[in-house]
Amino acid sequence: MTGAGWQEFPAFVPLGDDRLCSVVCAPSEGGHDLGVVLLTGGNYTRTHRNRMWVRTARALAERGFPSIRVDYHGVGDSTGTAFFDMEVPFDKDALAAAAFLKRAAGVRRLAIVATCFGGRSAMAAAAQEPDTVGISIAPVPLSVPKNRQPLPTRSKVRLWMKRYAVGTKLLQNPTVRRLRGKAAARRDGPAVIISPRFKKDVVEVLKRGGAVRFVYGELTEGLDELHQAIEEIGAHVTPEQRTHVEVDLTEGTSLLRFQTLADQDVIVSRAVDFVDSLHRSLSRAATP
Amino acid sequence: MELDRTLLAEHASHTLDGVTERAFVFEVEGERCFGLLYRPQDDAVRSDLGWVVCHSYGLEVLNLRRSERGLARRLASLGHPVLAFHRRGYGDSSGALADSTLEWHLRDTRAAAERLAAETGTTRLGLIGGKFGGLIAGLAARDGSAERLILMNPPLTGASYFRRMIKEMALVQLSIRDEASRRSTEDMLAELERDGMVDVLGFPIYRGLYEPIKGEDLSADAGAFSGHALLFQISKRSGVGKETQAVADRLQANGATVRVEALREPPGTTFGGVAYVSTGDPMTREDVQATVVDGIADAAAGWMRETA
Repeated sequence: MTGAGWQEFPAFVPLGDDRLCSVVCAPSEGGHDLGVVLLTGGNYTRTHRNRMWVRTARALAERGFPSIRVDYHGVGDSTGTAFFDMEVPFDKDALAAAAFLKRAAGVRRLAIVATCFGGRSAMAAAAQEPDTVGISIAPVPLSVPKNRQPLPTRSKVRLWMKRYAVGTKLLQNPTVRRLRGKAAARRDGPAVIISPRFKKDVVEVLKRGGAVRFVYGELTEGLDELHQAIEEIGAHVTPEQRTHVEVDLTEGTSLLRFQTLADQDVIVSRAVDFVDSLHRSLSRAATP
Repeated sequence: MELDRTLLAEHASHTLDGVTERAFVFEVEGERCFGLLYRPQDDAVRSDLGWVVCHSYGLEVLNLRRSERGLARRLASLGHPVLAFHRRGYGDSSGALADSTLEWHLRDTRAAAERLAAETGTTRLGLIGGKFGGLIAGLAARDGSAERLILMNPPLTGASYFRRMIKEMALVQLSIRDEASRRSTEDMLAELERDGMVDVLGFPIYRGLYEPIKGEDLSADAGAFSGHALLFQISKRSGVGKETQAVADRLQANGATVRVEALREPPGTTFGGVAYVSTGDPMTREDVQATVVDGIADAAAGWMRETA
């Protein structure tokens, strides 16, 4: 498939016995030595909400960057069955897609752009893939229960409510959230901590010289936990390595599930900008 | 940077459990549509009846994919080639939804049917669609080219589909702090009329599609379709709903033979909703749609055997 400045090739990427349905998008001619892996949250297929990753891939190709967008195993047109656990990222899916892109597009260096659960998978893959030079992540859950023990009754009730649309919306109601927050504050002990796995992966990436950008909205619910995570990560890297972590905040939005066309435009433009600036900085570093 | 076209071509298809899937691109009026062809691995068992899958709208394009895929693979295992594709402006295809019209949707469906016949030699056509895709399949069948239909929760009319989509936004708006920004369904339809587009939870509805499809009614007009139809009602209820029955009545009045299958959804699932949800540990998500996907495929396979 070809368009103005891009060409696309659907492919089934091998992952053990499974095949991950993917689309490789490449510049019509030539291109830079930097490929991009586009990852979604668990329930989205490779195109992402309202084709965000299709638009991103084609915009990247027009600027000379090949990419791959991929359905996780058990999702969309891929084979297999999936079970998502926030602490068990799909790094093997991301690594399989990355390896395929390197072979198909002939690139040596990679960037990973991801949202939500894909952010966990992106960071876990980047920690193992030494050619990954940058990771950009839109809002990603970072907290995990301190002890994953049998659920208390309040959590069971909350989960039961979340099984229904009305219950989910009720839980998102500001008044309900405020009351739940007060109740949580009265309980003893920290309920959650920043994911140790995620912190370890980020530290690994930073020590290798990789760049990490978090794309959040100023109203994103997890913004506090992001700042806490960065502070905790900072204790394990040098001040110079710490400067490679960037928080890109957009005013007036939470970017929640990318539920407006404006939020989607933010995600697409930030992804393209991230790869572009990564390429420029790599080019500057390579210039004697 | 140099593309390895041989590698890409080698990975454009794979075979699993006797069904070969091949992803490719075909041209429609200067744009390119993504297609995924399912066919039996053994050509000797191939039927001359092929199927085209019409996808839905918005988030359902993504969420219904697993149901469509399960059905496509089951039909292919019975010998029937199946082509699932993205219409122009959707998914991995080129084109812009802003330019889309109802006629465009129908022409893309016809182009997919022609491509299926050219690829596999099928001479008879069946159409599959879930929700909005069911409406498109039903409308495409009016020209008499299809002899079979599988419709899953088709809306009666285009207007009822899009009104329901907009109403779902009202639930989400409960969480918006700024009450002034909340809008009623009528406000949003007025915006669609005035501006030519309305943003419904990050999915645009364009006037160019809404206007011609809003009055289309599957219970009022089945056109020249008089073949075999399988209607799924996938819901929490046990009886057959009015909308499903109205479509079934219209098709039967046209001379079609109709089977209505009422599938019960497990608690917490919605046909067209997300597949992976938390059912216990909030840190985990499991597939709650799997039984529905299997139920659709099993019922369709039984219907195909009985009506062969």
